[in-house]
Amino acid sequence: MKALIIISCLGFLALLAEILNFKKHLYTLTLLGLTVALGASFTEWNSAMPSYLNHMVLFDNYSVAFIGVLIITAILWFLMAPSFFKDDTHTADKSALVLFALVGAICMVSYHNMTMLFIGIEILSICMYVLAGSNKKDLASNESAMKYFLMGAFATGFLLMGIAFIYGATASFDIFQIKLYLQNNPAASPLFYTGIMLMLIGLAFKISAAPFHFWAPDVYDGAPIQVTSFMATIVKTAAIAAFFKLFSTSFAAASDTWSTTLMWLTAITILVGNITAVFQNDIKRMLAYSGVSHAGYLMLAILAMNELGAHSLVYYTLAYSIATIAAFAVVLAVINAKGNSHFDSFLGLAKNNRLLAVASTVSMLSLAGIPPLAGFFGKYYVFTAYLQNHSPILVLIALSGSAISIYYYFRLIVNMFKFESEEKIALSYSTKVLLVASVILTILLGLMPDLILGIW
Amino acid sequence: MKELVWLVPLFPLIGFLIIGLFKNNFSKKLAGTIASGAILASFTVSLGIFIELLSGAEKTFTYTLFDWITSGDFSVAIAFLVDPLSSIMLLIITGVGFLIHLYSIGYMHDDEGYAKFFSYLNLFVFFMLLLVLGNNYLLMFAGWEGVGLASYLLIGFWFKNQSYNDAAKKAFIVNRIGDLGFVLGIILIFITFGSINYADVFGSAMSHPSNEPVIVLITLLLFVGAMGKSAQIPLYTWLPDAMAGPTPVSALIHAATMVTAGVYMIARSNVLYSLSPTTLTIVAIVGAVTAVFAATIGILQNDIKKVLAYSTVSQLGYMFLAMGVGAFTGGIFHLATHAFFKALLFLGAGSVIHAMGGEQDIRKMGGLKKYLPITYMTFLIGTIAISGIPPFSGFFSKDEILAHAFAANPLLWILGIAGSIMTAFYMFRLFYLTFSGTFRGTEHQKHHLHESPSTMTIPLIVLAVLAALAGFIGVPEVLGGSHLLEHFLDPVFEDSKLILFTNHLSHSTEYMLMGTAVGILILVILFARNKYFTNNEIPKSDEDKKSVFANLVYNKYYVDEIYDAIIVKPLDFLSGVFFKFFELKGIDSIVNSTGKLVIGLSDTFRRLQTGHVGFYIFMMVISIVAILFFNLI
Repeated sequence: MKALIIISCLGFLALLAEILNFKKHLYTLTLLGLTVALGASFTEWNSAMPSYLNHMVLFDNYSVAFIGVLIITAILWFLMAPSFFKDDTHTADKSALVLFALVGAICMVSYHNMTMLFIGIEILSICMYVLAGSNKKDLASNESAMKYFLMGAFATGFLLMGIAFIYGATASFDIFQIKLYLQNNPAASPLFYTGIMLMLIGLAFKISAAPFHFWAPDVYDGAPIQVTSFMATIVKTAAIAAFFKLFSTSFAAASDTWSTTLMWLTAITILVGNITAVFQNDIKRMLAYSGVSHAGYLMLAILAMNELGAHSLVYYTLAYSIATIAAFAVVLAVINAKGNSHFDSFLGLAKNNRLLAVASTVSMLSLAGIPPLAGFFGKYYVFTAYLQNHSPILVLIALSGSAISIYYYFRLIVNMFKFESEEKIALSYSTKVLLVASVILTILLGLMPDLILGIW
Repeated sequence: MKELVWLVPLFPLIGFLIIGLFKNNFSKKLAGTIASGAILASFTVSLGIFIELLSGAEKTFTYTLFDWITSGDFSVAIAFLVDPLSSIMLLIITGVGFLIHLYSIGYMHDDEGYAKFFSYLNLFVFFMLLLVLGNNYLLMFAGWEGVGLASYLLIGFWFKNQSYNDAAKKAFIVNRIGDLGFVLGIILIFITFGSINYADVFGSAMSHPSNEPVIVLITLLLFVGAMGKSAQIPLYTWLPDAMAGPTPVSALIHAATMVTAGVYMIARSNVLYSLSPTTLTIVAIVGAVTAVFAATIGILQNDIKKVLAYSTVSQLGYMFLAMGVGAFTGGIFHLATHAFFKALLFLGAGSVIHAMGGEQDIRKMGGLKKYLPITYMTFLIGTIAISGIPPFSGFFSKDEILAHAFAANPLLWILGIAGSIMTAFYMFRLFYLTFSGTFRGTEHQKHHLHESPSTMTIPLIVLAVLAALAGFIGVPEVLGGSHLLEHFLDPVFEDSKLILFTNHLSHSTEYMLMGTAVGILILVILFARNKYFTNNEIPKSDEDKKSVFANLVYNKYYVDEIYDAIIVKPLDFLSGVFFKFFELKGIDSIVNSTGKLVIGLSDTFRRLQTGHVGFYIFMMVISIVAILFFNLI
């Protein structure tokens, strides 16, 4: 709750920055505020009274862990993105939008009531629609915002319809009450099951699971790259956490009805994401499809429906977010230096700037799931959690998807170390900090997974 | 001091890391100093441990560093075993190792890979120490493989020469055959005894009957490992080729330490071997035959290092002979004295090669006595020591082995004496051809001749003293001594003594054996002196016609060619077949078509991404309809 309040206040502060004329310090202030929020949210670990506002939000350990992941990712994101706020007259607006998006994300991981879930999703989404189009003079950015909005609205419709159906069946928005309803009425009304399916569709869209992923590559490609990386990490983390919470709490007892569908979605997502990424020639699009495939791995944790599933989800999203932010930071530096993010722009990058090459190698290896990096253990724990309750067929599909992913991740690594190049790329101080921190974190989390998994 | 045993391998490891990581920032002097200093530090600790063992009552001590692998019933610790055997090995490795490091400072002075050389040497010493210190077979194996790696790196140290690389590869590959035996042996030990810690294995082995098939098999497999590492027939061929490495490497790795690892392993496993007399017989026969066989090749070699290499193979044969007849102390004794005099001889040879500007052919040397006085004197001491003339060290150790061989089977003794005669002959042949007579090299070389710098001569002198006097630690009772070494090593071998019955010779027989041996040796040396000193005979050049037998020996019995024909060629052929049919047509096409399938699919899926929102929503609607259809109807 503290983090939610602090970050909301930060958002309002950002709005005032323009008027009260402290725009210059806003960036520093934001970083500071986020750090404070991170610390404050940790104090709520194992808190005795985690529920607020008549059970609208619940800050149990699950939420606090995800809030931690979100804020850490946000801090790394801010380290990557100072250029997003500089050369523009809308510094304060953009900052406020990002911060409110984060507020939305926090609502999505800590809701205890479906109204709150919906509010969270909308706060997040609307900020993202605007941010995607924030490069006003760029046609691609505008197109991206428009597509995102149209399709997002479409999906939100299903989500809302689902909530309505479930309310119709259970007469409650409270996720615990819904759980109780299912326990008391094993033969629930068809309205209820339809509601589950509609919500599943809406949430699958938010995490960009196939076949509801079509928006992702186009939006990722067109939006300003910093916004893309925000979508790929924070939005995805919040959406998957919300997805997991709802399905493992409210709908757990009805898992027979939705797990088969979710398994199919998972398989399709992993295969489509990985296979399509193979043919991409632009890193941004490649990362978009890579994000789709990771949504598939994350859905395995939902299917696992056990404690390890929840814990591995926290670990996985953190590992994935760190690696992805670092990858986008590299792409940003390459775009600044060479004008585009084509695979060929990475040729000889190791000679241009060793830190860039090392950081992106580590993040690619982590995303591909190579031990001993964090990405490997993320997959390992998700698979382990899934296998506790299910047969291994889906894990085999996931593994072959991973094998395919080696192709496109390594293609980037090979390119970086291939050719000589004289040109040097200079990096800003914050980027260096971000890259070094991401490399250290990725290795550290890999060597000591207990840092995350051991806190429970 | 015993609690500090972990420092012993730590120093060389740190030395390796420091030099290896920062070698480009170091001056030559610093790299050499760090490397030598690390070994000296290890030696100091080793000496402390030795003195403590000598005076203390506790003879065995295990220092556990941490658990290494724990998996089910299987658990191995990184733990060091300090006992008389390992402490003797520590002294040899760090002591001789330090001298050779010191020597290398002078010898490698002009080499561009100077720092790299020292980092490898330190790495070698680290692994060698691990090998002898481990308290279980797996740790020994780790060291075993590590020294193999260091040996590979150092043989191919001058990697720009392809034949040196081939020699390095040969050493590594031949050793793999032995290592396979070793690994299988370790696995079988675990299956049989449920542990691979020495203490557990030997403890439970004591209750097994003698010559139980499984123990015979274990010991034979371990012996295959020893054959590879210690260059015994039939796996000896790599050692002469290994002379491609810099001479200090030959002295340290291929004479004094690594090649004796096989002997150490058998001495360490003495309980198992004592329980398996069949294997002991095989070990004795292989050792004796190797001793003679290699010695015959040594007689006609003209490369100063090749002579010493075959001599090493031959002397290792003696050590295995000792193990085979149950004279474990004798084997370790010979290991120690051999380490001194063979390191001395190699370093002396290095000094000669250094002076000759890289020339190794003894036919082009001669008369070096006056140019290299210190090398000359020390080399002479080494030659006398290896020939087995009393009271130099080689006499005592070899005599002990021969006496035990006689007690076991006079035939083994005859083989041993034959080898010993040939040893004396080829060593004095080598000595006279190198140091006496007139100089036969070029004018340019003659001009260049000089005694080596003091970093090289000091180790020579120290080793010469050791080679001369080391025998006194093992003076047998029959000569009025008390065999200090035997008493020191007693705790290690006491179990074997309970199992193994050995004949004891009467004093008169021992005197007779000794007298015969020394008498024949002196005759042989006089013969060599007459041939190469008085008559100044020079071995024929390669083009000259030789007798069929001489040709056979000169070409090392064509063993390399035979191995090539019956093993390498068929393997090459087979691998060619597998490559063409299975690899290219089978595996490759499966892999490639999988890749093509994925790329093809990717191309198809990519086309779904049309960019039209209408199409996207259409796809989504179809999916939604499908989901609702399958779930709700």
